[in-house]
Amino acid sequence: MVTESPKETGRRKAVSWLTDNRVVRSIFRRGYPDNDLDRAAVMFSNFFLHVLPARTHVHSLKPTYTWGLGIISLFLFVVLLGTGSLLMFFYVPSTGRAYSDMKDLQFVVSYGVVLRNLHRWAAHAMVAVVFLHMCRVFYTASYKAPREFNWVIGVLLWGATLMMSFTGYLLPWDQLAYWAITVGSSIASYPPLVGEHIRTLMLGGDTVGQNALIRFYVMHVIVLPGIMMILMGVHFWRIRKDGGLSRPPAPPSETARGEAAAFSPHKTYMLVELAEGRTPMVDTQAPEEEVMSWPHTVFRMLVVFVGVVAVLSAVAYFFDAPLEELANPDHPPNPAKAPWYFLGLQEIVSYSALAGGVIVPAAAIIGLMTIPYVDRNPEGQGAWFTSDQGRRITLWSILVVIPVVLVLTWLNEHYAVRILVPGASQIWVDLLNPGTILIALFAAGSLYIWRRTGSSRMGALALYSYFLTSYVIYTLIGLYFRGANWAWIWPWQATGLH
Amino acid sequence: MANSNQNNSQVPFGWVVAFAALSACAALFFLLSVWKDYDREWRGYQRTFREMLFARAGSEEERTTALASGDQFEQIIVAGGERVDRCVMCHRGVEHPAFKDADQPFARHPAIPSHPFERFGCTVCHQGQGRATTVQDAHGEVAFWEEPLLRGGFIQASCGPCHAGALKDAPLIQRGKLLYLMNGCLACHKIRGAGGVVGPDLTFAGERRKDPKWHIEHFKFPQKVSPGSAMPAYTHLKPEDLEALTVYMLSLRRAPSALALAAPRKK
Amino acid sequence: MSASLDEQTPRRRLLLGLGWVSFLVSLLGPVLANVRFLFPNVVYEGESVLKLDSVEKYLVGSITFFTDKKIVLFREKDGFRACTAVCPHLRCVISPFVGAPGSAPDILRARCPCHGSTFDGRGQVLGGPAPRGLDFFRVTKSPDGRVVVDTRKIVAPSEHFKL
Repeated sequence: MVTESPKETGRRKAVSWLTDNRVVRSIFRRGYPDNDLDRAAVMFSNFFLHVLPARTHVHSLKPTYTWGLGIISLFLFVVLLGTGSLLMFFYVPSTGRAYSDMKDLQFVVSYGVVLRNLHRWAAHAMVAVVFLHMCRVFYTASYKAPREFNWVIGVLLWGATLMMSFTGYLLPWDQLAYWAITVGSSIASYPPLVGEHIRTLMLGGDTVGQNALIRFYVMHVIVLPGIMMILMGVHFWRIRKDGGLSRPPAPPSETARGEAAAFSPHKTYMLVELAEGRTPMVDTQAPEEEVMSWPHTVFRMLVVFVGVVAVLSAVAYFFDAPLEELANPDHPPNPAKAPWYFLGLQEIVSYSALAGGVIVPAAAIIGLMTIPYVDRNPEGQGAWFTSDQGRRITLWSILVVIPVVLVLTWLNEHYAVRILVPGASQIWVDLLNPGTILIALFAAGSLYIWRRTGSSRMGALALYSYFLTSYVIYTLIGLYFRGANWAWIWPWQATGLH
Repeated sequence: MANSNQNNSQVPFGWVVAFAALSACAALFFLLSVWKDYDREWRGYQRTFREMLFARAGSEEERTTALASGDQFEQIIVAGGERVDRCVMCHRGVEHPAFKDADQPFARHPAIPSHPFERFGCTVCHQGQGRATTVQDAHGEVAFWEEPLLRGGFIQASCGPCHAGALKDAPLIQRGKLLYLMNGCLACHKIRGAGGVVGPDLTFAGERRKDPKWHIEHFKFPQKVSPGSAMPAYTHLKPEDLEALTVYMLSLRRAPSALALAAPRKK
Repeated sequence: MSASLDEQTPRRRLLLGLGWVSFLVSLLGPVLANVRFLFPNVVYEGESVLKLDSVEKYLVGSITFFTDKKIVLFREKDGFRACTAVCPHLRCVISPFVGAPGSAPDILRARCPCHGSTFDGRGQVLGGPAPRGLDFFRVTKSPDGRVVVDTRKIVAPSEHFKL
């Protein structure tokens, strides 16, 4: 024990007076944790922390394994809830007022500009980060048993995020909003039989008007956030119940189930942990691979939160959210573009409405939802691309798809069905266009790799990479290479000419 | 034991550095945002006006009031909020007799008894963006605002929507109308049911294009601003004739409903 | 972060201190900013400085009740006074003042229809639950000769705007 200087003693007393009094104890039950028992107790006696385990596997804390994408998505959602709730105080979802309210936020409401900027950029960021999180989970094979269902919930959350962004897009009621929603809701009207009904339900009428605005508003501020909060609750709870974040299986000697040796004498077990069954998993990790969640996990999460806030506030400081002219239903801009994350679909719709509006989205959603039930072998969990072979297959899949997509796009430009056979029936256009041809090629390619390697995981890696790459290419085409009348342009030729 | 416990209880140093750096960054951008939100263009104009007011004050009392007024938001609400004009946040001398010969933005506006400012506002005649509080935005000379400030003679166009008949104070509309008839525009264009059908109906031409520059450019080089147009160029007209024609075009619009409400009630 | 601050090296302690102070700024700052955000800078409830007709339009001894602006304008021998038409009890609008034209202020009567408070022409409470009298506002003349009532400036009921 080193003797303290009077200054140190004073500081210690001040800190303990602040952190260790009746009120603080009544809230936190214990003082600041200074031993492992208290560090564990902090985690399960705190409402907000008890979703985390008392001890965290070191693998879950590797930045290069998760890139923090899931937790970043959560923090972006929190920022969006906060800024969104505040913006609601100055926004009336009426076609006569919405746009003026945007102008007032910009010109006369204190901090109106910065709150709107934060909300707008956090929303775009969330669409991107949730998608990257899904890619991370896929490429580390984290959808495999026992996490199949959590993957499905994740896909639903991704869809809900897109819908959140899409419904929010209309609210400023400017030209950008109006025509993006007109185009975007039309993509949804292409499924046979039900398409028009979906669109009518969505818009509450035939065109984007007051009914559509109030529907989008209610979806945006009540329905979708509510659904997302419930799904997120289940998503996080399932992470715990499915044994934490995925990681490579421990060496076999340590996982032998039913042998007394597998139980660590240094741990205490609850009855439920000793019961037979797959979950919860207690015997798959050795104590030395774990660290206390307090402070290791909690502090890292804090740093990520501060990072999200720092980056968002910097972006919101330098870049203003767009606001174009008041929505004018008589005067569409040329080209009228959907929100950026739907531009890939819009590009395929320009080849064939059925392909872009039905076949591709349906294939993507069904494909994503069924991955864990098709690729069932437990191989390769918890490592990026599973193995060196997986890494090679992913790389080659990406490299092969780029020329294939570009060649198909070129072929479609010069030898499309209606160019070869003028007046060909719509069925032929819907069957033979880059969208459908790519899906057929992708299916064939991934089945070939599955057969060739004898591994469904390798097939899945190829398929996901095909879709990912082609969608990114089509999004870039829609974003930068399409001008007036959806004709080809170079990015630097883009003009604001309506 | 104590040693391992200590290692286990501290997060790696890199994370502490990241925490400090990112927190500092977040705090910095918060403070910058506060300053950016406070430091608005109109505050500068209000400060200059206060100084001018102080300089022109006759009595001690006027000097005190000149100094006492702080930065403030001000707006003219026309017709219950359909139009909101904040021009007076910078144009503060509009109604002040002492600023009769002041330069813009503080010049006094001649009083128009039939159009009191507090009922009609400014943009009803001058166009521009009434809700905006920066010079460029308010003058509407920015992207995504269709009604730029009408300067010089172009302002006469604003009389047209309500006073469609003869107006001695808006001679350019009359002249434009005459030029329209003399140059045979009627052969291709229709206004209120009279005229040809080759070109677009111009009954509400001023609602489709609200920027004088566009119209002038369009008369000179129709195909440049409206690709594929069949209209001949009117480069042979004098600049002042083109201006009159433009004023006439801009005047062809429906009276805003806000105006009907703002008009003086008949007693 | 650690069990106790004493186990920290000075460098760690400095960085943690900087981090936490900045963190608090970037957390509490926005909270305060958001409170400021909720206070509107402009409202659409009508102006607080009311411009009425020109001075000559109001006859000596007349009392004008402006329903939409919720003020009462008294034209007296030597000038103007103006008071609110909003009852200080629970913000109902009082009835117009009654009394013969030219009556002295203490003869005039106005009553609040909601809870029965009665006021005289000086705004004083004569009966009912109103906790205080009616507010009187500063009256001035605009440069173009019109009556201006500034509802932001409350004055004594006796204060006249002398012509």
